[in-house]
Amino acid sequence: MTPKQRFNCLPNSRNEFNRNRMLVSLFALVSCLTLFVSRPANSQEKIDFSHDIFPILKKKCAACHSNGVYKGGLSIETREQLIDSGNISLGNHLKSEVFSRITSEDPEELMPPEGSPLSASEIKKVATWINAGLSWPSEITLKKQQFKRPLSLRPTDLPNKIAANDNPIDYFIDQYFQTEDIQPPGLLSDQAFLRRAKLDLLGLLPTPVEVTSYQKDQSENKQTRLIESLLSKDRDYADHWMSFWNDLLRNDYVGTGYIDGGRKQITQWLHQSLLENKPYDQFVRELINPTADSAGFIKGIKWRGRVNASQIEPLQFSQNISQVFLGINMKCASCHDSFIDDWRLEDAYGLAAITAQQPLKIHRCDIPIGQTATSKFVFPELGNIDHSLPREQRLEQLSRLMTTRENGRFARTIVNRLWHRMTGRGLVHPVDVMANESWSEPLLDFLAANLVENDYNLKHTLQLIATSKIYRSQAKSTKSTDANRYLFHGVSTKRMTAEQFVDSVWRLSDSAPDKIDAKITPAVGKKTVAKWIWSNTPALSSPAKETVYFRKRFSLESPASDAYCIATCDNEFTLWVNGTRVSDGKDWTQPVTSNLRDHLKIGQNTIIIKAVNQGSAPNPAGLLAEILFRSAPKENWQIIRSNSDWEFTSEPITANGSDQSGKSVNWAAAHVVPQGWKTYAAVRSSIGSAKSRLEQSPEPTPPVRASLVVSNLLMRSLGRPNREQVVTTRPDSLSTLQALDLSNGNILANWLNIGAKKWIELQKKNSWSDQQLINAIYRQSLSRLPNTKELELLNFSNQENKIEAIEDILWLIVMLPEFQLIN
Amino acid sequence: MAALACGAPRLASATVSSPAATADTCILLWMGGGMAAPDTFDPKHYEPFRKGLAAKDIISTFPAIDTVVDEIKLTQGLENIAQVLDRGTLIRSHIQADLGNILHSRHQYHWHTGYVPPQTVAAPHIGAWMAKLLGPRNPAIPAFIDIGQRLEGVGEKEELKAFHTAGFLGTEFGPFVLPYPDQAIESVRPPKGMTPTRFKKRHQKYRELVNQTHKDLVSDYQKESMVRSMENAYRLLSSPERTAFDLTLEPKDSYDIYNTSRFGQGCLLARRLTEAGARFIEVTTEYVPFVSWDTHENGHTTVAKMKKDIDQPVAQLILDLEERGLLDRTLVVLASEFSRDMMIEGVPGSTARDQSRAKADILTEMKQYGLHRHFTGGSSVLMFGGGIGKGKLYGKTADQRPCLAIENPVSISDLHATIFRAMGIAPDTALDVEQRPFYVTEDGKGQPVQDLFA
Repeated sequence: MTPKQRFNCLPNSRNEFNRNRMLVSLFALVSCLTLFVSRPANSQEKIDFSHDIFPILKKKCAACHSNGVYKGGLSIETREQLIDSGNISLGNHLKSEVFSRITSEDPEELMPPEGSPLSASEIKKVATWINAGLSWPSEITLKKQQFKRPLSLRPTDLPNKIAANDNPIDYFIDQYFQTEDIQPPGLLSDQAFLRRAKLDLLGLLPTPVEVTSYQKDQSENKQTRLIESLLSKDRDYADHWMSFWNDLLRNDYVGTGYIDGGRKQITQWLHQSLLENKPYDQFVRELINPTADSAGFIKGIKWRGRVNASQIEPLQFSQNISQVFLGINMKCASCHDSFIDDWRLEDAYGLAAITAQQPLKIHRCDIPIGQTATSKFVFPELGNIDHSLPREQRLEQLSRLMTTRENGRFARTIVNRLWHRMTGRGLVHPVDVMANESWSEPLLDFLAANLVENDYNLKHTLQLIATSKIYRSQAKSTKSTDANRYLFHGVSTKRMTAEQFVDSVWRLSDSAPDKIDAKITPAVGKKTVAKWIWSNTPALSSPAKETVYFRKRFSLESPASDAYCIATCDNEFTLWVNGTRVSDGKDWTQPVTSNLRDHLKIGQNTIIIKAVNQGSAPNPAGLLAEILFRSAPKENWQIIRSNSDWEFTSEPITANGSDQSGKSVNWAAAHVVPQGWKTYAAVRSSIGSAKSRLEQSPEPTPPVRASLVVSNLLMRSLGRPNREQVVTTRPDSLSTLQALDLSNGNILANWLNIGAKKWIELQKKNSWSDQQLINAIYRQSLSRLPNTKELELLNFSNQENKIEAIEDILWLIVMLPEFQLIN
Repeated sequence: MAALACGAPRLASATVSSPAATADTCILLWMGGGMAAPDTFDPKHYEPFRKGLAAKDIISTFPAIDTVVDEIKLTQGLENIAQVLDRGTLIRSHIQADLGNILHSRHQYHWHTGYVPPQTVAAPHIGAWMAKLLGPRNPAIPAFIDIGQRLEGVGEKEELKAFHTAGFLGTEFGPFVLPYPDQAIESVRPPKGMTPTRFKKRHQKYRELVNQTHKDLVSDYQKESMVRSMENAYRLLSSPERTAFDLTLEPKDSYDIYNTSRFGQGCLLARRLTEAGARFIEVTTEYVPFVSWDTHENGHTTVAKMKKDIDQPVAQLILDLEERGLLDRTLVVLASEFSRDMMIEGVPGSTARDQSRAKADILTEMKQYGLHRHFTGGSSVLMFGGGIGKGKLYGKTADQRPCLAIENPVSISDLHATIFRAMGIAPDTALDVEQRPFYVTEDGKGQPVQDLFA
């Protein structure tokens, strides 16, 4: 790793490539993908610094002349240092002190002073190197990476004094702004915040109704409630995050390798995991140590024919789990010891050996070195993998080591990816180089620790970010100012992904296709995902006849026209609503449906359920419940499901939730019962059927989402990747070719044509004036009304062909930066 | 893209400057599917079809013909190209890597990117490299144009897409795809059914509307970047140069010469675009599994037809470029992912699976007559213009089977290095991706074949 930042954004230089800057490297550096090289015999011998010189310097010179040890005052960490030392005469090895010293016959002079001297061929290489101008890429240095953070999460100095309602993220950000003397950005308007949050969390534009009701909402914690309600839309959430995970896990619905079984989809497993918001540690354990449904990720892509040794499936495994879960680039080290960081060939092969079915011969740059790889985890301090075990057990061990709470890198990597998705730039950047220093190490570790404490609940982290003040603040331009040091000024403007753009256009124009291509079972979307919860007592140490109280509080803005609770407890329960006992259940296999309508009130409501376990053996008491309510018979149901957002207490309490003497008791977050308690699964589905009986009209099937259909040429053009490589970041600016596809491509034109007809129909149906029509389009697309000038510009009263007029208006709007950027 | 972790890839550090370009435009004429050298540009012992003929006795299924260059013979069916060979160089010793089983898309990926798939980052097509490193020659003409290959509705389409891409360079430098040359104009004119007036008005309104957006709603920098791309697109769609895409504007006489096939039309389009200022154009006979050059059976008959498709347009392209004074600065390369043989699959000793669909040791019917196996040991490449030598022959394959390159073998890396060299790009030019350099030729090791230059 070089001390200077290697990825300085050069956003301006993309279009205006300056040929004068096209300096070219003299020597070939590695990417070591050579399978076949032929060349004329007379070609001039070249010195390849990385392969020929760097290993010599590292082996023979670095110990005494780099990283704080500068014997004889000589430092050779970089080319500049070496030249400045005066020990090199460029172009003439015979006049170079360095050369004299490595060839000296005087043992006092000879370098290195200890160990074997340079071999004849090494000496020849050094001579050629000096004569050819001492080529040495600036990004390679002998200087060890300066920044190193401990593997375990560091406690953060979050003071107790921050108020309960304050988001801890803002504490860190405020501190940061103060230290760096940065003016905090102003707050977003309601509509802008809603738009950003819904696009970021669910990938969809807010509807006009959502905008209005949010703007009208006067309650103090409306932002928090908005985020909670967005994150509770499980299906929208799962559909949206499919794109993110498909990119990361190389999963797609068609593509290289699927036809001949060289690759396997994990679509069904992935979508279901997102619907359930599967805890991230469990999610990763199921990927690394997979069931048949999740096996596709570590299987990789088997190409027909011969592939480079660094690209066989076990090495793909090594590279992909390192990159995706740890932000480690193992691609270099899959061929040779890395030149950019400390990872070595044996590290890459150590991971690969865990999954290899057969003994794995280590290859350096596609040539076997006569060694066989042994299983090894990248952080040996966390534990080892026993290579003598069968593959399945090795994978099991790896899945534990990867997701152990002590593996801070694991939690940091995912919270950093989520922060990047939400704010446009990583706390550590780029997101795949987690060794880099964050602009706020305390915030990084706080978020990581917070994720761990919350049982790897990714929605919790998203909620934490989305409810922070900084997330609610105005975006800052991403244009980089200081090349050497990034300063955080606020959330960055993001560009819609291909899927976000297409979904938005589809909703605006009613032009989504009828069917999805992703193989997810249709029932999945409606399946109840209430979770069995219990106290945090380890299951088998719970007392017999354990009694636990569960609590859920929620607010109503208007009276409920219908409200039910469907619940069951293992084994019995009693339900109170706002202090009134409403129902009991005795048979845990038969969920009880209770009518809550008359017991609910406007404002805060409290549901308390007492769960008692029968049986003589130690055994925990579990609860599974759904609360459904709506404000009018035709409205959609709002659903509250049992999950870790519920609270529990084991202290005896009264119906009002206080102890016998009227004092408040301590409530703690309930715990979700780990999967594997199979007997519970059956009951879940009976809750589902009780629920669907309640719902007079079933939930409408949501319109098809772009993430679930095979990519088309427009989505491809807009940056939806071929998923043959892991992709963690999408392009952030609109290219000319993309603009071209948007300006005259048939795909978009057809959608807008459908949209134009729809809007004309709506106009007729609602007897809108032309201006009202434009207002309606603006509200749906931009979440605001047009101003006078905009109305004037879009006035189409004189146009004969109305369809064309509306097509143009729709096109104009969806082409606006305001539409395509998430600000 | 993973590679674009932050901003554009940068040139890796550097010490020497680029070579002086001998060409400004590159046209790649792609013979997708594996063009059999012994039946096209490298005639060998010929045996006409007859029942009872032993397959091992057949190397060429066409007789040799003379060309305008004394020492060079071609096979029957290439009479027009034979007449322009004095304008270029014929390489007969192009060789490809043995990738185990033969899979066209993998070899095509290798040929088009210089790297064998799979790769840990998405490798760019050579056209994308040129778009990135050289930019468009005329801002109104996309820098990388791909003519004739459908990416939807054909076999192996996902594999084709994998290399029809700018990869880690970013979509800006990807191909402008024109599968049907006679419909190319539709890609550069206002959407179907939109009059130029409406199109122009729409754009004018766009400019005004953009300025109405309140500053708080979108940052200036991002807005400007988007609007710049929209303006570029508009310029392209309304520029006078776009008539170059319209084949109906070509005089009938000339059009007819080219109009042998979609490939022939593609050659015409390539000529028109070169005149208008294109940077890199690929014209393909289109790869569709088991179609065109991909002769797993009926080889002779199919190749006869393919030669008909290419002979006249290729020759005319060279003559037209020359007549317009463009040939000197336009590099034309005709190549294929590998050659074919009657007997050998891959190269001798390869483990590749035999894929002939008309296997016969002794021929009994016409469909068995042809070169039905994939051969990576020696194929032919034609190069014209752009500083390449004239009337020259380079390299040689054995006259007897196996017809391996026995003189001056040219690898994909070295051929690419030659092409890049002609375009003024050093073969070890590299861009940083994921903190490591990625070179225009594999590992920066391609060596231009100096003898190919004039």
